[in-house]
Amino acid sequence: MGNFKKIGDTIENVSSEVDMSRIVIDSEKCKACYLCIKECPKHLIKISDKTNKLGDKIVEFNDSQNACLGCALCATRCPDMAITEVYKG
Amino acid sequence: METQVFKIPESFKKDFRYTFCPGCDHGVAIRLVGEVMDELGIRENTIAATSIGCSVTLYDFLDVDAIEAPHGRALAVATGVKRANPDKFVFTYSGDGDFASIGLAESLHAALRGESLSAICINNTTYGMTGGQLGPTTLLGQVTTTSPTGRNVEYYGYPIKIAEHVALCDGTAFSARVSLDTIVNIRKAKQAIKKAFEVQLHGLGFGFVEILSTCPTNWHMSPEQAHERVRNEMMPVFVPGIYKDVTEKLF
Ligand SMILES: Cc1ncc(C[n+]2csc(CCOP(=O)(O)OP(=O)(O)O)c2C)c(N)n1
Ligand code: SF4
Ligand code: SF4
Ligand code: SF4
Ligand SMILES: [Mg+2]
Repeated sequence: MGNFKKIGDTIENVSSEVDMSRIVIDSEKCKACYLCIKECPKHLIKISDKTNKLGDKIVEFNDSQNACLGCALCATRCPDMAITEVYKG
Repeated sequence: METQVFKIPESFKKDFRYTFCPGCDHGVAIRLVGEVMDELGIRENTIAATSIGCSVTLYDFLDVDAIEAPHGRALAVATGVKRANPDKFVFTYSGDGDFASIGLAESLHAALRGESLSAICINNTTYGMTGGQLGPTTLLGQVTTTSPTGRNVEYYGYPIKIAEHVALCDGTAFSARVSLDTIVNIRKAKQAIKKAFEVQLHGLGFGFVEILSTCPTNWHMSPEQAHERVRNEMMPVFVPGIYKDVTEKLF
């Protein structure tokens, strides 16, 4: 699973070149309320191992299958504007 | 080609950082205000009269001129600001305690005078900032730090329905109640805020939106449970809808 996650990260990083829909999460702004997780119809947002300043586990976007719809439901829900950008490919 | 479908509104300060608790809907409400200011292109011409409550540092988030009003006096301060600067767009953003308890007289009289102002009231059924005391909108049966056995009519009376009261004021051009419990309702909330701002821009009178909002911290709920409470307990009492809209007759 560790390797698989790495491949996902790579695709996420080059996704702007191949015009895939994607979101940008500002880990400094995420307060780990987890409201975005339920909102994503493709289940692309998950609790990560990274923590914010208070030690709460923040979320990460993981889209190895390029399934993101660019629907911005996650960003519309996020109370802290921690999902700072959404692109539709 | 990819298109950006979401961004932080231009009307926000570049280094802003919300001070709200995790999952608090104040953050969504203020974002909608920023999005509407962007769409109407009014940021540079705006003065906010801010209130006392969890939104006390609104001026740290929105990139507008702002004046801090004493608790409950946002509409009185805004009245002075607007009358001295009639060309400016002036709005207030207050909690239910600020708008409808200590500030009820200031708020309703601004509506009765038909002041050319736009007012947003965040109804979270409690005094959030001071630790969750009973407020004017606390629901019957609701346990707070000052109603430990729940709000009962005999002792505390009934919660106030703010949007309906504002709608009854003859100077009001627009009064609505909206909710932030779902994405669809967040979109409706934005439309209502825009309308409340537009009636001022068209000189039609007082514009008002009551926003049903969460206080996960003082409700002792997860952010998700808090939205369920808005849906199941608040919305049946504080029914969302447009209670007055003079533009219906105009256009
Ligand atoms: C004259 C005065 N009385 C009381 C207070 C204490 N106080 C600060 S905020 C607040 C209530 C805030 O509740 P609300 O307006 O509902 O805002 P919320 O924090 O829930 O968003 C009170 C009573 C004060 N600051 N000034
Ligand atoms: S934009 Fe839509 S599909 Fe993509 S992560 Fe957000 S909610 Fe999920
Ligand atoms: S909704 Fe925003 S603050 Fe909450 S977990 Fe998701 S990204 Fe973080
Ligand atoms: S106390 Fe309640 S209203 Fe205030 S920031 Fe926290 S959750 Fe929001
Ligand atoms: Mg309140």
